[in-house]
Amino acid sequence: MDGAVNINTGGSVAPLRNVLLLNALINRVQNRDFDLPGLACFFGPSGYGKTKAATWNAQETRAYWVEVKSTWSRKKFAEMILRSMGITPGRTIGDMVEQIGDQLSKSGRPLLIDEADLVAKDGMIGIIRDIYESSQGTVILIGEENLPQTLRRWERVHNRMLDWVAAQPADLREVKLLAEMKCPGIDVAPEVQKLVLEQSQARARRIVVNLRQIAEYALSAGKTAITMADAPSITFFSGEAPAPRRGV
Amino acid sequence: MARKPVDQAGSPRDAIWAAVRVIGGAEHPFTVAEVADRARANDKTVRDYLKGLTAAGYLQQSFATGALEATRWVLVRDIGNEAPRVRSDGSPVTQGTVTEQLWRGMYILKEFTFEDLIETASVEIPVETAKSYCKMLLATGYLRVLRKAEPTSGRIARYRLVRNNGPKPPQIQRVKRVYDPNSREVFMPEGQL
Repeated sequence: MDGAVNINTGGSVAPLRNVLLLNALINRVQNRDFDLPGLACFFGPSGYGKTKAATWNAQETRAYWVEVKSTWSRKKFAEMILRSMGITPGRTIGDMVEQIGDQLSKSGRPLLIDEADLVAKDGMIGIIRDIYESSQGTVILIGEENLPQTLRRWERVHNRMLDWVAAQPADLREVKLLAEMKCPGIDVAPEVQKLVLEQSQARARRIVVNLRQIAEYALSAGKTAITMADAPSITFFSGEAPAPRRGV
Repeated sequence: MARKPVDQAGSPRDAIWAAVRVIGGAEHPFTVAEVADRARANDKTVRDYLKGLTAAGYLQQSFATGALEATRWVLVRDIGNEAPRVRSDGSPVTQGTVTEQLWRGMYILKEFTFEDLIETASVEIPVETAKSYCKMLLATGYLRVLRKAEPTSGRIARYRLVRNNGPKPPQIQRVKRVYDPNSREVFMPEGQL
């Protein structure tokens, strides 16, 4: 049922730059001086592989993981954090914040909050502040490119951020790593890798999609090496919205 | 005596750890009997686990008691709600790490292939293990197929997680069904595997 690709690619996202950046950030927050805040921010445009980076790091540190939804109330937010910890929520939000803080300090495991742009609202942001102020825990906010700007509205949160780390666009080294993962057994020429990087606008997610296109083409054409001569036969996705049609 | 399947046995260690945290939380030295009573567990089970916890440094034996009294323990290292997984010599239990990572990968990524799970894991996961875990969770209604595998174009199946009852990984039992320790439910495979 799993198709033709049964080769263990042995691949791991571990060497990708954004994985390493987030890993270094979590380590810095966890090993901070006692009097420093335990809050930090990892931000960048969508498709840069932030969630993939967060996944690997959540595995490595056994982090608690919450992805915020736009409809959540303060109470729901606190409940969902406790749920990620496997703890039955207390009655009030105050009780819950205390439970969260207690668990973070005792377990030493970080809390990763994805789609953190959605907690940048009055009220919600107060919960985050209460959590890190009531615990010696590690809280990492993960969000879009403008998250640091959005958080400026709450000075007490903004000023207490231990560090801000921007997710980086992919480079050629990473295209090569991803090609080894996504096109196992296929030799993708360096010029083609460069083309993939350009066509994908250095976004990891699109690079993966385009490498997948190469792998499919190679399989159907029965090739084990892909050169620039093959490029015209491969459909690359650039993710651009289609141009308006004329005369429609 | 044969080990009971997990859905019948429950998790005595979770109950024991919870009892230790409640009784021992206030630095009150406790006995095996007190913990066994509160956790509704067997004395022997409690004693074995307390020994492991002591060897691993979570508990200490209290020497404040007289020679004829029952041994008392104190909680010296509380790591939160999750029961430490230790052997009787105090060494950590590593079994279950692969399943834990497969499950965490599923609930973070939400939409994934078995390869995605392997790539984002921080431990090495055998391909067959990843595949069979996906297969079993698909058969028991945890996953839906988003995109079917297409062997001709080399595409593998892509799944979406549709039942997430909590952070503890669903366990595949030897009897070919899935036990969810979060909701304490058992799910049988639908149709053939």
